Amino acid sequence: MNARSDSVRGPWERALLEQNRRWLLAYFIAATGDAALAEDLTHDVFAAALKSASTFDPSRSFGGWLRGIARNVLLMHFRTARQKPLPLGEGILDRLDRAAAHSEAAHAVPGYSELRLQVLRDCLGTLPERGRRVLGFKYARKMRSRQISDETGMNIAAVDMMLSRLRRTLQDCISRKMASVARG
Amino acid sequence: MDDDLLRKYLSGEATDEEAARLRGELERDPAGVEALFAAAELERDLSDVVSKAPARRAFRARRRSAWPLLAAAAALLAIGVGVWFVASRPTPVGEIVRVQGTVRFADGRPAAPGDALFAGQGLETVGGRSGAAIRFADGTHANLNGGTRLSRIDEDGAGRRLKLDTGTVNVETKRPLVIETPQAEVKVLGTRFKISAAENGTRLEVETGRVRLRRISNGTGIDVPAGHFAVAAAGVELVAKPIAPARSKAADLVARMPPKSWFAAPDTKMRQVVPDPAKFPRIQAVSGPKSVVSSWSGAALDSRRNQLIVWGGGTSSYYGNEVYAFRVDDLAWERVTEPSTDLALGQQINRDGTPAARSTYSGLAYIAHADRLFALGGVIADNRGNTGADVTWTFDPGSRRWFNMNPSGTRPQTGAQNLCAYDPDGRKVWWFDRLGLFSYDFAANRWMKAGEDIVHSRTCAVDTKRGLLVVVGQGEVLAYDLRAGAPARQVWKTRAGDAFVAKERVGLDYDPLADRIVGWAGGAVHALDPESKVWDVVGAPGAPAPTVAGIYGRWRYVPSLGAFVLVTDIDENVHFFKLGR
Repeated sequence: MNARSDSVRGPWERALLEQNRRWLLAYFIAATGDAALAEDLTHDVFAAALKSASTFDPSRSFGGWLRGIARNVLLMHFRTARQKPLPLGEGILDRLDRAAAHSEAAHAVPGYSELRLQVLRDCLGTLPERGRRVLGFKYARKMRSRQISDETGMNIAAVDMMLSRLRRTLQDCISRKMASVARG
Repeated sequence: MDDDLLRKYLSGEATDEEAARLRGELERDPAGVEALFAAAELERDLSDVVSKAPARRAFRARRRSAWPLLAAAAALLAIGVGVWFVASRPTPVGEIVRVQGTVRFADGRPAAPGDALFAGQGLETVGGRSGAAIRFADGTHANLNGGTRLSRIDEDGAGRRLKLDTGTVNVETKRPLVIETPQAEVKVLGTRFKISAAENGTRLEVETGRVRLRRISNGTGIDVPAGHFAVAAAGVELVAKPIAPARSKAADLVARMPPKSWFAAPDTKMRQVVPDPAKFPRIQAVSGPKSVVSSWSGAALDSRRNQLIVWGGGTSSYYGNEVYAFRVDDLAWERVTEPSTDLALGQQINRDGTPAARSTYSGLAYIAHADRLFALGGVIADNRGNTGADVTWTFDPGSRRWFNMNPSGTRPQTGAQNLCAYDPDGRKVWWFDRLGLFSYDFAANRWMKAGEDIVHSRTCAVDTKRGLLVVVGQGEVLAYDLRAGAPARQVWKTRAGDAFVAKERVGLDYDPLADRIVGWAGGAVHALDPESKVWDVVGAPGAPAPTVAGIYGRWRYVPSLGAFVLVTDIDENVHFFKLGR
């Protein structure tokens, strides 16, 4: 990102955008199964929100307003740009909307995003080196299972199994640690 | 919820059929969407955390044009839509720990010890006598020989990548690492190796482990096992061959020495590698780095790297805590670490966590099985009370780091004039002080008291053939059987060496080839036959002047040479003595 636009905003504004960006991103990842597309659609939501800022009613939920825009952006993209249905269907969107609202509420708590990421870092630290390496190929180098298989000498099924197991381990670890934080 | 199906879908790798299956599962399971959303959040967070360059920074070019619009409009939006590209602060991937001669970053800036190294940076050593050492955050060490250009160092969640344009790098790593040269790509899974790149080829030598070498021109590759080398160059078959045991410079010279003779290695004065006093004015104290040797200080032989590690100074003489090594095979000195600049004078531990400089006496030993230098006792820098250096330290010559061991057990009393020796069979350091005889077990990180004998100001060595700890000095020769449950004192009545035995703080080590305890304190070399208890006095010409304050561990037997190495002064060449059989 350019430093210019960074400089015109204060930390409060940056925090607000970051707070909403994260749950929107998860919403689109869940709806499309495509992280790169989710980035683009999140961007489109903010661009649309900025264009229509004057239509926002401050007495209503800002997150709800963004979710409305998000659904339109999503449907528009699949109906017009891709001309194909959403991979999991449109029937899922209401329930996804509710999950996104929960996430939005959590992200509104100051420090929640940072805590979540720190917890993930801690959990990653408990994984064996080999597991971290495979995750590195997957998320840092953006490799697909076949490429990871070539890189590591593991067969594709073993890579897939390992990734699933790692994700489950991390998910459990995060849930446990976040619950522990919540209990104080 | 099928975890594998969920992962595939979120990775964009699910087929239409698999997506339909997931859709069916979500329709049947009301809680399934929460699981899907949680998994999507994990996917998002992993992209942020695992990648040092978050995915959002790789935003597609077609989207960038919208940013000026966002920038301008955001200021107008009361609800505060801000930036999501928060400028990322670069994280150092390592640190430059040693610089010799001219060393600069890829952008031309001079590099200095302590400088952080960031992903994307490069480092160059200019000229044959230059050198640099990099320590990475995970302990991986890379030593650049003179005339080496590492044009780029990259690191992300998947590992580390170095681009070697030319020159030689010695690497010790426990993490996956890729090195790219103009001709080849080397993949490492944790090993020690040396790689040299030149215009016409790349040579890889593997010391331990196994390394994958891939020729870039045609993609062919081979695994190079330990003790082998391979060359990637045009017209050269890509095969792994055994490394011929190369004879070092020192080995050649010592091989030519007749028995019972001295040899002074030319151009081996330690002075050439001491820190520039102008850059380190605060550590000079009364007499500067000369005191590293002359002020009651010793050394130990790192038999794995064939180097004599010298560490000393302290008291009011010198405050620099840098470690030196004389590389026996190359006949060259190296300043292994830089002096600490964050001194806590009068304290054992500097503010940067390193040990304070000290007069080390006979308190140094090399723990061969652990590849650590052991250090205890001595008189620390600016310590007016002369006591209290009771922290047990070890130094890892590979990573060049000090470790405060904080051991358990009954600790010895420490101070000046202590003595110690390492027993390779029992894997313990034996230590004498004014409380008695103690042993330190590195594996257990524990001290044990083994006897009440009070011995100081002498020197000891282990006769590895008989398992005896032999102590010489102050008119006595003592022996302790280390293979016995409780080592008991034996007083040896020796002949023909009384004048030598009467001295204090001599140099002493065991020569297994000659089966002799061999000592030196200036003038003639004295060799004791442990069976007959008779000293052989070898008055060969060419011996250097002794160090007034004592020789301590700076007289050590070098197994690979079958000879002794001796350091007496930083302004004197290093000497070798060959006793022969």
